[in-house]
Amino acid sequence: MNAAEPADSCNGTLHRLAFRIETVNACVSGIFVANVSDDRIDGCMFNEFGVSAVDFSYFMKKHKLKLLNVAGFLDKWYIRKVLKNDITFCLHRLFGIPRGKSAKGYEVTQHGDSLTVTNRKRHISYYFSPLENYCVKDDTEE
Amino acid sequence: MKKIFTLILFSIICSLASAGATLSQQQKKDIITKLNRSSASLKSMSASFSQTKYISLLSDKMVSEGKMYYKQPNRLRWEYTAPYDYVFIFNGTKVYVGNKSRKDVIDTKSNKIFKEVARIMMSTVTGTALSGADDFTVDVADAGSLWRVTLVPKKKDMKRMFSRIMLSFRKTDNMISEIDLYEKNNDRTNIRLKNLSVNKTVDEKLFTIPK
Repeated sequence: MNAAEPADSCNGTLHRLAFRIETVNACVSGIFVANVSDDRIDGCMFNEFGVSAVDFSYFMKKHKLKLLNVAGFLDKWYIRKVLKNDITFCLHRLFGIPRGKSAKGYEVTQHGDSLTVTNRKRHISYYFSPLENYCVKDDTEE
Repeated sequence: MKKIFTLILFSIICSLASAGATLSQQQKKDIITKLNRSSASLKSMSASFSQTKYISLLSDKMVSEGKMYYKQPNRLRWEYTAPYDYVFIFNGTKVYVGNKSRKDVIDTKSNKIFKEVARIMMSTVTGTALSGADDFTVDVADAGSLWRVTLVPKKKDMKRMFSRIMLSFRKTDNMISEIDLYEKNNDRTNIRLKNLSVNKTVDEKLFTIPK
């Protein structure tokens, strides 16, 4: 997926990306799955073992993000506040949402299909890149 | 009316048959002892695995595959090969996590999360989680060709991660075949082990933490 692809061109579709969040002394990596529709983006971030880190819903009209589930180790009010702002900014960049959040305080780098967003104040970097060769197999239950 | 009654009766019989017989407390105790004995005799193990994460919010699933290796007392290599490359090595005190872009060595003494992850992976795969009475409430059910063990976490840290863990053991050799991790947000991760090789030589180099 092109990180700057407009939201209108990918309505109601699922996007799967590899992500990595780096702070000064910690790193969380895993998979980011987002369902982009006309009025909202529902998304989940979980680590390679499948353990959920963050679930959220973003409402396009209100430009508001709601954190639905945050893993225990991230579930502190001050972390939630930063995550909320940073994920909102990342979504605006990933899906080209118009009238998006101001880039003040963020550094954005794009290399091909990969996107890096850095929160300069908190020294947190968010990396997103497409999952190569992913296909859903039907040999599993459900 | 007779047809409907027969149909209802048939479906009840089918569901009872698939659920297996109800076990008494003594039978459950005996099965757990048997499974514990089997996990205690496990010296080494290797298998390929298929991991499916069911995402409740998106009604979607994510499938990944890889290989795992275990060697007593506490060495584990968990390697994803598709759709991403990711290696997790635990050698007792240190954890190595590596992918294409980053390689990290983490001391489990200073990082509780990785210590817990390593502990859960190892104890569920080898079945030793059953003997941790302090960590889980354990229950066993008969599921046809499998023993299905449900572990409900007791400790706060574990409760924050999982609501319950289900382990499925083959009745034929008491070896683990499936692991289901249930999360608070109704997501579930199913890990199926295939081509299981038990107590055969596993190369020590697989557990070496790269520098």
